Amino acid sequence: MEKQNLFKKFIYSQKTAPYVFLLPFAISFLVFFAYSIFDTFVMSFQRVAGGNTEFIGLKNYQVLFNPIFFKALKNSIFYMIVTCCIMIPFPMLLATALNSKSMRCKNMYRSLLFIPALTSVVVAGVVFRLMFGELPNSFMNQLIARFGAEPIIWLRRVPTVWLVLFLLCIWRWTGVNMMYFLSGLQQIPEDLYESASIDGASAIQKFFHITVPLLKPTSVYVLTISIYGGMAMFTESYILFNGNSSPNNIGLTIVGYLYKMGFEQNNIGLGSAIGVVLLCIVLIINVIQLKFNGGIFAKRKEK
Amino acid sequence: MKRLFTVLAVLILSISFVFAGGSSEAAPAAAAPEMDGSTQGTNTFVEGGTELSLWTFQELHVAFWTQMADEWNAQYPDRAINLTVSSAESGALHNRLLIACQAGVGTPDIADIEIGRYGSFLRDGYLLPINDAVEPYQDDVIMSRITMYGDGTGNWYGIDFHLGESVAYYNMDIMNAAGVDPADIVTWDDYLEAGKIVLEKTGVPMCVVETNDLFLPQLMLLEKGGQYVDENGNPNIDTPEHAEVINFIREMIEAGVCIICPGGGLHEEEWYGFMNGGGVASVCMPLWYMGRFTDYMPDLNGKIGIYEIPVWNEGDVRAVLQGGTGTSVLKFTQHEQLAKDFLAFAKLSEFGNRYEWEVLGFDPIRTSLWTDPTITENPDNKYLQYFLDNPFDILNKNGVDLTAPDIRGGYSAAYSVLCSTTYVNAFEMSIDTPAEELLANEQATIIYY
Repeated sequence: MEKQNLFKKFIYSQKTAPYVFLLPFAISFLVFFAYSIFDTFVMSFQRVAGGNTEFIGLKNYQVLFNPIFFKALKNSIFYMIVTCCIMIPFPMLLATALNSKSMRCKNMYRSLLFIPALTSVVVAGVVFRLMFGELPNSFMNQLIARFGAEPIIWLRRVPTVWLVLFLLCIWRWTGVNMMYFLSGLQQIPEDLYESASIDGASAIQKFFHITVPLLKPTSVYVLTISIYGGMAMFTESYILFNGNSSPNNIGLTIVGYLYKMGFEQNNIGLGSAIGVVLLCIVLIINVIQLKFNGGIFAKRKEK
Repeated sequence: MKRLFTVLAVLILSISFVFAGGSSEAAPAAAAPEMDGSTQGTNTFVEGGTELSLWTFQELHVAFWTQMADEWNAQYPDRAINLTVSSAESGALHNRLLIACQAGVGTPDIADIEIGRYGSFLRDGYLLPINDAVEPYQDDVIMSRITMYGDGTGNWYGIDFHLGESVAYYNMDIMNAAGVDPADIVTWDDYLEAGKIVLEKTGVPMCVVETNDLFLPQLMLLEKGGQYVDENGNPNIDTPEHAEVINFIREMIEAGVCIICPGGGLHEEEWYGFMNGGGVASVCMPLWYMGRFTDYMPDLNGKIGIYEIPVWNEGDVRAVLQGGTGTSVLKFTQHEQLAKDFLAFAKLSEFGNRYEWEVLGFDPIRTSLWTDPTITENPDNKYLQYFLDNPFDILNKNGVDLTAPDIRGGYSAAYSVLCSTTYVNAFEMSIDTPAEELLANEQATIIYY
């Protein structure tokens, strides 16, 4: 009885309760995040080799800044920018269309657009790789042959590789982003549209002057996760090129380079250095982006 | 304070991003069972046997290992083992093995390690020398297939499944249509001239060159006595021999005799379809490539002739070994001697070599099998049925003096660059850059320290 009381006292105490509730997060943060980050920093100054691990100073960082690293970085940033440019306006328009009253078969379209999100990226990548085969009898080459075009070597040439990667991204993620926007649209009060209609606003005017501004919080959120997603892209390229080795590194991403150096070539120290540099880059991009958009920062001030 | 909190929130988000990268790395590994089915196998359980574990990246090897364990238990009941074999997709398996070695826990006793990745494991001292276990078999086998998995100081660490001697496979329908007899092709110059005739008569190229692997240039380089690493094991791809090889392949491409391999490599779906459809007249690959013909190119059954590879100068030895898998004992094992002896038995005994040839289609390391009629003239063997020529004729003709690639130290690092940029640039993207200049640039991008 005494014991239980003590326990109750402890749990219901205003002073201790917050710490108790925070504990699970704090522990998992310390073990899985803080420790790993710390160790990554340490390893980025080492040559990691089981029992023979030794400190080698800044060697990993000196080696890191080589043309292949910059190519991978360029690829990742390009992918991130283009996907952000496509994956915000396009799903927003679709969501608006699906939200409008005059749209028929809403649920069918919603499901159709969302189904790709349920497939594994690996499966999707394999299907895309086979569809975009380079022989004349591959699916896409047969398709373009109907329009009289010559077969294309899709996955070993620069512009078409990007086309395939963006198509895969659009196919896979449009439904997810559309769902975010749909839920954002549901928050916009109907009377705003009504009063705009009374004032004689056209559908296009309503979209640009009501929908887009009021969807801003959702857009900022989608932009933030798209930046993460774009910079972290790895699986798509790994599967599309059947194992992380694209010709002349045309599809090598920064995480792909980390994987290549750290795991494939047994250079965990260099891999860690790439991870550290990547962390800094993404941190900087997102802090700037959020500041620019007044995202988190502005909202907190309002309160 | 609030601002501090938001900055912290962004920091945490960004950190979780790094881990998002980490988890997506795991995705292909986790998906491996979907793609090629990870499997486990065990031998018939023996009471009191020692537990041994083995990892392989090739599902076909699982049955090989469990059968070898059964045979071992039958022959050495006092040293019985219970072997558990696990297979997984190649990239995932090698990464897992490497991490386990670095941590020093969770490694298997024995592991199959692919030749391109072997140097990494050897260099950091994760493997045990197996000299004493190999020595009893020394006189019966081709030792270059064992010494190549060595450190250059007399210690050997791995044994291969096969000899992997390279040969030239010709599509005889095309060669006959062109009126060229492959037996007349001795030098690479002959090969080029024959290719021109084939192209003129049939419109089909003579050969292909890979951009995502290195078999053809490596074969030519080995024939010249060149290697991708220097005598100390440092990566060295910027050599005059290598430049000559690139220039010769470029000459073949220029003449239309050689094209870029559809799909980029000789293990791609596009290539199998292309070769199977009679799109190319010949391909030079090791004898273990026979299995790819029987599995992926059924339409060529009874049409493929096996000949020796061309040489640079008449009279040169034509024997070159390529590809491979070095099976090794990890230094973390509790049963060092047993693991080594079992490994040597499985890979070097006559029983093991028969299985390797008959089931897996691997040219045996044991020379006695090359003249054993129950092997070389076995009417039920699917490889002997498929091909027009007997591969053992070439093995016997070329003899036992065989050149193997030097895979020490920087080979893995060089291999990665060669297969991702060097050969794409040399044969496809920067075909006008002089070979010497190109190789110097490529050499500069190899990361090895």
